[in-house]
Amino acid sequence: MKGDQIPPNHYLARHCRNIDLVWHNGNPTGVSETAFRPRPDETDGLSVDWVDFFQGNDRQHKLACIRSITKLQVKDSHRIALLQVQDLVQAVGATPLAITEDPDDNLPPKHNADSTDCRVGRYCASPQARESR
Amino acid sequence: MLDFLRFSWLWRAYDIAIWAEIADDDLAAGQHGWRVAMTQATTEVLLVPLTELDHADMPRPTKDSLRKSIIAIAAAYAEDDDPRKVAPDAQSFTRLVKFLEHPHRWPWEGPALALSPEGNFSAIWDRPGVHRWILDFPPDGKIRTTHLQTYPDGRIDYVAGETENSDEIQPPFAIG
Repeated sequence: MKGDQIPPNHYLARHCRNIDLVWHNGNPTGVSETAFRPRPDETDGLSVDWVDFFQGNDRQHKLACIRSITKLQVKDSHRIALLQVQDLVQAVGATPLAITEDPDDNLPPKHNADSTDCRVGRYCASPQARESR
Repeated sequence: MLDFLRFSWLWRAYDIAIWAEIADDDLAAGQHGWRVAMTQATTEVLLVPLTELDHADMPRPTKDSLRKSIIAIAAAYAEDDDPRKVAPDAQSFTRLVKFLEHPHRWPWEGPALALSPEGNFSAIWDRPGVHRWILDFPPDGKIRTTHLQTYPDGRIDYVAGETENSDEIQPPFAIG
């Protein structure tokens, strides 16, 4: 439900443009911190996808589902950065952080989510202090 | 108060970035793979950096690695359709190359490259999950250093500084 916390062992996906990547020997090897700066339309926190919303152990399948529901304009060269919730919380240290469910009912047509029973959540990671403003 | 929170969020983005792994497939489901498109924008971005690299006195593997990465970054810049995007600063890249050219740094392994939204280049040395050392080359002539160290318990140490004297800069872990 909207506002529920995401379990700490679950993974989140953040869409990264080509320009957000770190390049070594001409190959993308990591993500620059710029990928985690709020975008102009992210006034209330970073928007990420909840990878483990989708059932099963096959990560490729889950990523395919993520791809199917993204509304961003994506290109072949873009990448998905994967983060575990507990790592994210630990990384920001003392900064209060809420990673909460923020379902998106307005999915693109022909998405991979199973049926109307399957709500695909888009989640919002934002400092709690900003939420409580 | 809001400004402080935003600043602190951006600062912590460094910490977040070292935890991120890249999914090992393309985001788009296309079968086309990724190719460098030599557009006019790419060529303009590459002109000064490639010339600088051609003349640089440094080990061949480092030079080749930097060349491949700057070509990739130029292609990424050309592809980026953000109307607010800022062109890569050739002077920033030149300063990065000059820094690496020093014979004391020849034994160093070639760094990874990244581009800031302000168009400045960063050299990055990584030991995934343990160390990340970042040297930023902003237009003010200084070099900003950031070292992130991750401990087995997940704690992260963050040490940042800046200097105009490149001789003061020493890697915080072995890089060659």
